[in-house]
Amino acid sequence: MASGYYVYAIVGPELAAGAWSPERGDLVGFEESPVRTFGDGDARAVASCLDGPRPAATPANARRHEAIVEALARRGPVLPVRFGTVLADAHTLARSLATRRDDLVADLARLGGKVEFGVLVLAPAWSPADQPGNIQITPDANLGAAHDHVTRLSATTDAAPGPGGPGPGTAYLRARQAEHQREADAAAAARRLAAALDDTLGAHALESRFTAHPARRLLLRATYLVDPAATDRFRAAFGEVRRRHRELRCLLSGPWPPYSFVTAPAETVDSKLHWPRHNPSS
Amino acid sequence: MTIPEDDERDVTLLELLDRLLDKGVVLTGDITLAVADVDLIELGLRLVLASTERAHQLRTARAAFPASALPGAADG
Repeated sequence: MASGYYVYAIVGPELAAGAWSPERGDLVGFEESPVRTFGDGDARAVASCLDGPRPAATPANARRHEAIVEALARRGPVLPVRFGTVLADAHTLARSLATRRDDLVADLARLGGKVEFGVLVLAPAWSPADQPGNIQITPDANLGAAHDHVTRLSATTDAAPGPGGPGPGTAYLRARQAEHQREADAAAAARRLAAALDDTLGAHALESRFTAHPARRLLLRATYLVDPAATDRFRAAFGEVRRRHRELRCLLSGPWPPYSFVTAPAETVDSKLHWPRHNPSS
Repeated sequence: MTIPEDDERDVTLLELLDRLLDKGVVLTGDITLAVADVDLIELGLRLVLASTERAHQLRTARAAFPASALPGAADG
């Protein structure tokens, strides 16, 4: 039973007909199926037939998907497609390309042939209590009760500390307050850092995206769209950022195909797919 | 003594998964990933970042002090 077409990338007609000859079958996809182009417009899908279930999101499968996208990118402008995209049949595939044609053609012109770099900045210091092994899992019901208790305490604690010293509820409240303060400090630091990075790295990039404090230990996640000719300068600028911010742990990854800069479809994608946010704007 | 930069490789995998699973062209008719897949990635993020921090702390600490002078050196 054919389950459909697994799509790796979008290419323009020049790549489909030029440097890459689909008939050679020199790119092998999932289930060892040959990778071919589908469609005949300005934006075509690079896909392979899939008979079995959709490939699971394992590191090995992710690397295989990525290897095909990168092999295509070496031959010409390419847009990377999200992992796990399976379309039921050729008709669905053609309709899907037609629906997004304008976005895809514009993205190919803007992003095709460009690369992106990822920058992760870890917050400088964490107490041992932050280590995952020390995180205590509290059943939701207990946590809710403790929270109610703290909420009641919070009206009186600051003005009138108890005569017998802080009790467990007060200690919990203080820990919560300290935690909120750390979150706020980290978010503020992330925004300052984003501005500083934009000054240094942005000069060598075409576009940039920032997510401030996307996860507990992550101060900043930044992504830069870079012309391949400027990658050496971009890397040198990153080295400068590292030297200037020795108190932080800055990690660079790339060059990647421009996954982060493709135009999102008009309809929103399932919000469960997004990284957990810690609401830095509040 | 230096600690190998294995965490750099882990971060590269993390960055790869983040891009492939959460970014890239979305075609109409695409099925979103199962929640279990995403949970797996979030777990991976926590583990990778924890190990990265730990390695960094160790590097920093060893650069600054002899091991015997570190307070709480036996807390592991």
